Amino acid sequence: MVARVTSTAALLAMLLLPRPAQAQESTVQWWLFEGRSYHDPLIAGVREPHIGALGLAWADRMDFQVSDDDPRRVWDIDLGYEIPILGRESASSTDGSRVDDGEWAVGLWIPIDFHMIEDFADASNPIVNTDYRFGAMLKVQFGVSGSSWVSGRVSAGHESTHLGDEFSLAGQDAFTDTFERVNVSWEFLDVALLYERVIEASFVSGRLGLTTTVPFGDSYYSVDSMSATQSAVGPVILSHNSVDPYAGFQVEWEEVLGDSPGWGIYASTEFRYRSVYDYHRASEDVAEDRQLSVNLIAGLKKPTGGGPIATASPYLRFYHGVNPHGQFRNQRGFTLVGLGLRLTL
Amino acid sequence: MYKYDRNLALASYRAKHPNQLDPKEATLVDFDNDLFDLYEAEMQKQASDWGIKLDLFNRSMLAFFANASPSKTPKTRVRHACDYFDSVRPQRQPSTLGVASDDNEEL
Repeated sequence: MVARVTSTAALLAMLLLPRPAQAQESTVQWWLFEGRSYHDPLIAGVREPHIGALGLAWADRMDFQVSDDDPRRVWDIDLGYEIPILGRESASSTDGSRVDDGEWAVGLWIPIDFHMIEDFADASNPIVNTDYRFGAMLKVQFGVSGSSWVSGRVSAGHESTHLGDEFSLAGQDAFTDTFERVNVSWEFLDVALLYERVIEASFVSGRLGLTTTVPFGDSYYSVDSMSATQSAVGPVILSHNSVDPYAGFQVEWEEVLGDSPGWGIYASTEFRYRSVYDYHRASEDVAEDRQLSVNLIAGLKKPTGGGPIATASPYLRFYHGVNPHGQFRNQRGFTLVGLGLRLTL
Repeated sequence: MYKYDRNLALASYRAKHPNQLDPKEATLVDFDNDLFDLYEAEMQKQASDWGIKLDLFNRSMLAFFANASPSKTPKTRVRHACDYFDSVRPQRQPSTLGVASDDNEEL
């Protein structure tokens, strides 16, 4: 383990530290706190950093919601960003965001994101749940040609999930025999590979990745006396599964509607083979079921080219699979559909 | 060796890398050559449709305009560049934007 860490540190040092013999002649350069598009978040990435509001939406009823409305009006708000820290690239890129043909780059980001769902069926329109994520992210990119790129991303961080207070109080009153609060809170490691390509006037990409708990094999939630996990049903059993694989595909067609520069259309989808949390299994050795969960987003946008100025984009979203919100990840077959606005970068 | 007008390559570099105030000559030449690799073929395809004469100055202007486009694809960027070029050129000089300069004099 120590040898592996040492060799990884040596590789990072080789990429990041200047080599005096070449520094005078090469075009290699550093950047600090500047945006780059080495491995942008998947638009349909359910827990990737985005800024968007699914303002007019309907979702299936979740446990402990008081009224029986099903489906019911909700808001699903994302607020997140990948903050660029520093990086090193083999040459100045022509568009200032992706590397050119045959060039490479590496950089460090700090991703921070919040995801909140609010219910409009119960009294006081309670916030049902909020998920928080933050960590550190290393990205590398290589220009396969002037119009195609491969990149990798390693991200490590912490996710914390919280039920809303009004939701919890009402749920405890209404479901005294079954209400439970499970502290879904875990450290994660996410590894992904991305291929991007320009085809005529469209920009397509595909990615594969997996997310695992850290330490490997750890539980997604904690049950010790300090964890605030409480259940009226019975003992909460630690999770067994610890790895979720995923894939993402995305295409952006530029200038499809209107006069030049016209509106583009994009479609993005995430497939994630999610674990269905099961808090009351016979034992920790029993693996949870899984369900393929699909998130599809399609929208309109003006071109922004990966630059620092964002534009607003109306979009449609369809999600079906394991409920992605905090402790409600024990609900399979959850559906969410809606219309919203998001910022595009 | 520059493939576009050096002054316009400098302007384009300045626009995309505003925090690089002391670029090496090798960096600028590399940047200029990458502009050429990215836009020249598409420029050759599209410019004639807009009646744009492809001398060094006009090609350099088109590369500069294309690189200023917020689009992600060279095809759309060059189309934006040609559209803009076509809109702002003087009516009586249909193939150029102004005084052409075919040399690459140093600043």
